[in-house]
Amino acid sequence: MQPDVIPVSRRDALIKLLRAAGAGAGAAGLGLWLSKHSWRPEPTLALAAKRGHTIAADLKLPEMAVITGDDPAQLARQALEELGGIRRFIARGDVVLVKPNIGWDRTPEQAANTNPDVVAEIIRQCSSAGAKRVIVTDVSCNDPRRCFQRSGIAEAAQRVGAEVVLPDPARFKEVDIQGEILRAWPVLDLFLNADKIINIPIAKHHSLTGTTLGMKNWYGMLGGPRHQLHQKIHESLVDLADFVRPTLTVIDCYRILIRNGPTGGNLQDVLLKKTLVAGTDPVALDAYVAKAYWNLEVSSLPYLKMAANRGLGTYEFEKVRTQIKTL
Amino acid sequence: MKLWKRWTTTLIGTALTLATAQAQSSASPNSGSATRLADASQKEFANLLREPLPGRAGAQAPPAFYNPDSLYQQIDGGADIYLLYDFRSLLHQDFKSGAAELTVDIYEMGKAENAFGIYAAERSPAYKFVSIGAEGYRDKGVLNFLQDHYYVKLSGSGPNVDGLLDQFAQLLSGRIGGTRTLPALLEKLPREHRVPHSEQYVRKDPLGHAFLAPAYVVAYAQAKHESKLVVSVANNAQEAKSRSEQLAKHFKESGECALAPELGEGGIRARNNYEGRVIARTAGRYVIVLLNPPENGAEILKAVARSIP
Repeated sequence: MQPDVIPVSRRDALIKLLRAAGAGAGAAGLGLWLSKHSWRPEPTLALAAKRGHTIAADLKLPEMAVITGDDPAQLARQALEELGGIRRFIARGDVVLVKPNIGWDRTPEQAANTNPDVVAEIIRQCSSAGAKRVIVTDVSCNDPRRCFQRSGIAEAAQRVGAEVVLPDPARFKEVDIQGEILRAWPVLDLFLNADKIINIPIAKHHSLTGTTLGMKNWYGMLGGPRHQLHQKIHESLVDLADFVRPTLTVIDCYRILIRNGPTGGNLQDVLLKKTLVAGTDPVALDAYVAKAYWNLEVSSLPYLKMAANRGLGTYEFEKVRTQIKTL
Repeated sequence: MKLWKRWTTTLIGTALTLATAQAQSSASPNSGSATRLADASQKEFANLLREPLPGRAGAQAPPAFYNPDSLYQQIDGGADIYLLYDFRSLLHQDFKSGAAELTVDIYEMGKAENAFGIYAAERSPAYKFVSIGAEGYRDKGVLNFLQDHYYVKLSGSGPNVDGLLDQFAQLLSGRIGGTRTLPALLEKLPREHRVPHSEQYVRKDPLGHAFLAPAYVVAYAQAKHESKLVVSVANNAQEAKSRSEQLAKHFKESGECALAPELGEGGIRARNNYEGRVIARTAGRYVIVLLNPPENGAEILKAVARSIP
């Protein structure tokens, strides 16, 4: 038995066809619109403005202090004293970010990370000046948990009341660095919210640049494929230094890594210099340490002149007001 | 009628699905994570760290692999020199044995001379050397050694970790197998007055001259007299002749250079203010250069020419 067939007029068939075509076109248009709008997570550029954390210059005080002695904590204390005291840098209620080098799964003696006693003393000083919070962090190259622990910095910092924060992937914000080569890049948000930033790098050999000192330490606030920046390492160092403009720089030269940097590992590659170089001119500090320990001239480190041209300091460290003391 | 509804619904659903898929397919920033176990070669590589391990060490995480593109993530600026030596792959894994922690990094360098090159670039004659693999050195909490085309770096902390490093090194050496000797050419170079552990395989700008690369460089010291022997390895005799001519040209332009047939094939005597005195000659596909030669420098040059393959 044949099923009933309902005859369809030409008009009805055309209307149905148009309806189907219309529905299809509508669906395709909706799809296209959605693909260009809120479904795709778009990076939001957080806080496009550059930030500066510097303090006012004081012509009566040195811009650089070079302190030599046996006790790393005492060196840090004395360096701050020579530069005018911690209260010159930290005000009551400040949120302070302390940025050591905690990049590597190494012990303090291997001189790949900042000396934990230096870090602890700086934290203690900040707290004594009334800082509301003192935060210690770094975006490590090796496993952060192991770096923070093996370096001794986590324990030393926590012992004096700092907040030790491991880099969490969720805490990176896309920021417009506004550099000459660095534009949008993920930055650990802790660097974006601090009132004051204190840079505490360790002086090391670096197979690419010859040395890694203060300005190179800012790589440690970046996420993303930062290794790509090595192709334009000098330009990127200056962009980062210009973006951060720290309150104070303290270069740990208590132990320096003279070979196989930046990772180190062998104690035979470490020299005990028992010195701290601190100051408010990050360019002068880098130039001084590079010359003092590696005999590197400014011409060997193009980023120094670039930074000076950008108004970040002077590479002519001989002209900087310097206090040199042995305890 | 039902068919029309079905078709329309399907059409709308398909469009929505495709749009969603396209929206979500936007790449997120590359976080640069290490490559995980992905293929047979990595599995074979990871097999070097199979259990059982000394001290009943247990892995704290799966092995991580780094290739030439991702090595920077692990060793940052230290990667460049590894790449210069044609680095292929790094196997990285952390272990725990009781209270001791240990990290194993095994660099696969493709060829034995490249493994030697990076090993030698990182060692210093002042290190404490140990007899493992082709050669190794150690310090507190560190033991690195060279074997075949691998450069193995062990580090650790905790009680009795140095003994644990020794055991790991022995086990890995056994599993790696292959060549346990330094590059054969080094054996052909004079032993007398050689500065121990000064040999290097330089792939970039030996003595500051790109045209001499790659080259073996060895330091010698007779009392207070220091010399440097450079054996530049060309692909063939023609290329060696070209390198020799470039060396002569360099010294003619920067100082003085004279032919020295008494030295042998392509012999020259040269000097300039910053490199000092140099004697050189070719031998097949090699260019042999002696910087600051001792009194018997000519004999040394000829002896090297006779002995190298």
